[in-house]
Amino acid sequence: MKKVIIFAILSFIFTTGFGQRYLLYDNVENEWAKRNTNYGPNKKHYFYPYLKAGQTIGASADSLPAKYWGSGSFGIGIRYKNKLTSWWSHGLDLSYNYQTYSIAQNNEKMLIDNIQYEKEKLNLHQIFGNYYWRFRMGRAGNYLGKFFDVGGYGAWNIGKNHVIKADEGIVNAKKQKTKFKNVDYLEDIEYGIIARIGFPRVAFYGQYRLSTLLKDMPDNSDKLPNIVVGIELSLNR
Amino acid sequence: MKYLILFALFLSFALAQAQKGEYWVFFKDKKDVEFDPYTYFDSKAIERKLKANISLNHITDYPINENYKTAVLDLSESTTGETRWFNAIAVWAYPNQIEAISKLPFVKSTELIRSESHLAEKKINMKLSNDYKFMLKKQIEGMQGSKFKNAGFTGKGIRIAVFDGGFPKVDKHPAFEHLRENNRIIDTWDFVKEKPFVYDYSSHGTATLSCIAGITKGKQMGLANDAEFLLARTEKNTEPFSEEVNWMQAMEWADKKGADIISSSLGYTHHRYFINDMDGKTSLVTRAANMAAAKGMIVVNSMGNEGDIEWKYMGAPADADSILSIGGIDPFTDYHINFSSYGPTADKRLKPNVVGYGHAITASKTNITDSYGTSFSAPLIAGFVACAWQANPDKTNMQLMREIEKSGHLYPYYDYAHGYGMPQAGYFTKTNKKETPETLFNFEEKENVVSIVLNDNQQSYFSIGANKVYYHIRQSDGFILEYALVEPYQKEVVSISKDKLQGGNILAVFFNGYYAEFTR
Repeated sequence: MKKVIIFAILSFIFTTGFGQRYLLYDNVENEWAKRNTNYGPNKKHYFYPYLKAGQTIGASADSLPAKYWGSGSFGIGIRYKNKLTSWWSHGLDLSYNYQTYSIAQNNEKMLIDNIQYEKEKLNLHQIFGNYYWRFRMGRAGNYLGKFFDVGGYGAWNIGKNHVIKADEGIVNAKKQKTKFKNVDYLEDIEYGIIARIGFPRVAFYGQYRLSTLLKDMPDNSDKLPNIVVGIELSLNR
Repeated sequence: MKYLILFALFLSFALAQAQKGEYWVFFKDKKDVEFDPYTYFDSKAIERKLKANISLNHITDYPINENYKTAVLDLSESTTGETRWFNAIAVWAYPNQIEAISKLPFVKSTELIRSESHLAEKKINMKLSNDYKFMLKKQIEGMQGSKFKNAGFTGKGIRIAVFDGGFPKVDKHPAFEHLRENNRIIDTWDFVKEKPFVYDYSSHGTATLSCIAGITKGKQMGLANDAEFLLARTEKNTEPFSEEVNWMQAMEWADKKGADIISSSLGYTHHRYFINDMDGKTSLVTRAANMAAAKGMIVVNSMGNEGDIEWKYMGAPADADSILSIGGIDPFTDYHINFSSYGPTADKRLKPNVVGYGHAITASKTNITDSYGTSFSAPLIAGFVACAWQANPDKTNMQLMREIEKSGHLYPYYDYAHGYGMPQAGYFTKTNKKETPETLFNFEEKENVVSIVLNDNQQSYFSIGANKVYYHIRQSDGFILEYALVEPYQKEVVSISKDKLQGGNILAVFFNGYYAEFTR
């Protein structure tokens, strides 16, 4: 009630003391400049944020048997698009990406050791960059429209963790989770190629890693799945 | 590697599917075709054209060359429609097919069709307004509708084509009983399913038709209760998808069937266009709307409901220069309703032309409800136009449109939210007061400013919501630089810097029927 009274007094002072109430005001001259801006989803420059989630697929080495449903990625980023022609754009994006590989525990598994744990994962925290060419499909107004992207990506692994979960052999004991941070047997840099198809708020993407993930391992023994397919949600209009 | 290949195949397939598109194929000429206007046009259409001195034998009405059509169809997947006015057919085709089609010697050009439009209905979930009777009376009397009715102008003899997403229950609803009993629904066509039955699907058309001609419990919902109707279903869904091809064909159908007025509530905005495309000549639907005007019809189209989102401005075809584009005002405040799209056009022309209520009592599938959107402003004004035309049968469509603007309650004031205001029937029945309005305010010059100052006898300006001061600053070419609507609580309403009035700029003010201008 007190707030209502204060509001009523302030409203009275405002309306009587300061005169007028603008119900509508439009500065067309200023708005006109906005009409001719170069910034927009289908204009010269555009930035938009996005979320992405992916599933890791592809073959893995016998010594690094990946479990598909425990391996995937999640990211959040911002993308810049620079329009070159009505149908062709290029751009860059920068994102934070979390990539995890879940390693199956069997007799052939060999990741530093061949001990079979309850769970074992490699988790990567990445600064992920991507340069792409975009081909618009069909005509659209100031709208992202349908598109097809191809490009290359590079990722800096700012966090490289090897996580194991084990019961230490004690029946009914609480499972122990051990995280080895910034391990030196994982590479600092990852790179590959990427493609997307957008519709437009939702895009499907696939990325193929060309680089190795583990250091100083014999050929083929370091092979973790190198394909991620996923979905992106563009947080734009 | 096999996953990579599979993924690449998936992408290729998706890409190929996505590239199949619907295109307009425009032809260069209409060689070797025959046309008899007396068998093609309805007698009402012939009457309208003769009255407006429009040729019955115009090349735009000639059919499309059948050989051209066959050749294009042989190279495409399927056809979805055609337009005589623009000498084009719509086809589904892959890029390689459309490339081959564009190389045919008689093909002028091809254009991708993107069929995403918005019916200008604002979805608001609410119970039926408690002010039902007030609103029903307001949506008629806001236009001084009883003056038309008392003078016997109810749209008799005027034929209105209504384009919408469906008209469920129009064949049964009591709000349209008078139309059915008097056989005033002349023809119907579903352009989506290509059959005559239109009394199903989206109830949006039922609502818009009621705003033109409905009667509930003996009370008018719209003004043109005695008009004749052509009902065309052109939209697949209520929102947001539509078919541009259907709309184009419906325009020609309406012309052929003798429509005087076309009432439509769709708008194409950012899905296909940039704001700068709203220039009255870029979009095909806009050009079609202008073509309809050239054929003697009045197209009444809603401005759209993008006023409170980033797009903000009208959607095509409301940017057409020869049509009436209708904005929305709130029946409870009598000024701009927040979602109604604004003008001007990209080439700086005034839009909206006039406004109607953007919140109205409408017929629904089962009963009566209240609806929001410029979808309902437009048909309310379409009904008004029918009555005005009945009152002025000798006016051409363009002459009548100018008169409709002059009848606006703000005229000669205008702005990009209200146009010339809401049309007033008294202007046409000549029952409005004609005496020179009393001077209600003055301009007072001070050193660097000019102030709008209300006269001492304007005591009512202290009552909230009653009186409002409209002002704009415009260039000598008519382009408004800024405009405002102010509710005054003191005599000195607003002070304007004289710098804004340099170069011949004009300060125009409207208050309670009194209009004045100030120039330096």
